[in-house]
Amino acid sequence: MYNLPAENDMREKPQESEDSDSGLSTTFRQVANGEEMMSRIAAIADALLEQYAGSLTQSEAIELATQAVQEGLQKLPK
Amino acid sequence: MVNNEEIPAFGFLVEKVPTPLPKTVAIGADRARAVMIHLVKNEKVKGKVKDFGPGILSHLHRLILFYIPKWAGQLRLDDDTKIAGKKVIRADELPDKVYCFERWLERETKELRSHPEDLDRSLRVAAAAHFGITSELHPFNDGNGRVARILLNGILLITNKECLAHNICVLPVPVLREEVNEREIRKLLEAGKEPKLDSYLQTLEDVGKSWDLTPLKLHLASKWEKSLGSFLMALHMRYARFHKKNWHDNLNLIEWQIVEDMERRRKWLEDFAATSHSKDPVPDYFSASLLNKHYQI
Repeated sequence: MYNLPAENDMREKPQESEDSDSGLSTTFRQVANGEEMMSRIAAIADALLEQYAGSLTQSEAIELATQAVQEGLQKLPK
Repeated sequence: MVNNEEIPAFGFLVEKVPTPLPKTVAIGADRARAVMIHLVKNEKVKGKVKDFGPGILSHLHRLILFYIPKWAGQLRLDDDTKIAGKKVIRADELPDKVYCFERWLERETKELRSHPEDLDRSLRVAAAAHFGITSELHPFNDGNGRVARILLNGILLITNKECLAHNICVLPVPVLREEVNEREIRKLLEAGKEPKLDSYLQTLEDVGKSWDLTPLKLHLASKWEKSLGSFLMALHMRYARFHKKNWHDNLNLIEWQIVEDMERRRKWLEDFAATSHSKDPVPDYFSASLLNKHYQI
């Protein structure tokens, strides 16, 4: 007997294709991008905690950092 | 939620410069992170900075503190700074000392590039660089911690194959400190009580007292191990959702290799934290010859 996935899972299942540059699948790349974004937000929160030492809690710093990234930071020059 | 206007600036910033908005601080930190990743990948960046060589500290500081133009990239001019009760390098010595430090950093990072996956060496260089900037040099009026933390992440990334070859550059140690309530610490000090320091600050103090980098290396190893664990867990969750068993089997060869490397690194870091270590002394940062510096001028 087959264990059929739930309807939602079927709909969301990623269409795998390989990124020709890196050889990584879309699923893998999506997870990597998500983790990169998390570490980027955490690094910004860390900077906010230093700048506003004693005035911000860690969760407030993370909230502000997330907001800043979501609103879009300026284009980053090299 | 914090109202931006209610956030007081820290220390002597109150008198001299207006309080930056959180988004401004975020932009500075993020720019420095982006530039650091270009340097890790040996890509060209604007300005004279090459690899991790001379000029890197001021370059990163300029990006981080761009909202205070008169301080951005400028070395400190006063001698009032004390770290854990000890005076840091004198302001008039800073230009030469910073140059020597950057030459030391350049040499060490070159060595690291030729020793991929030498995690002990990576941790040693990252810890030494961080300690050198925050506790020995303290080269800037403000933002020394931010420069040091961005730099240490860059150093740890140098040996990451997934960053260099596949452009997956997750910061190994994005957050070093726990929640630090400096107001609370000040209150306790005023009351003559010993404040309980955050483990990160305590670690820096321990290194300063014992001149041994091991506590900081262990701290970094534990944070890095957690960061890798979070990546692997995210992968597992994503794949296990569709492929209940043997999720590894659904990875292609390159992905399999990346996961294997990460798991090996994580295991090494876990073992590193669990074993005892002999003393790893703080290096002599300032032995480089100043000849090149003066010749360039």
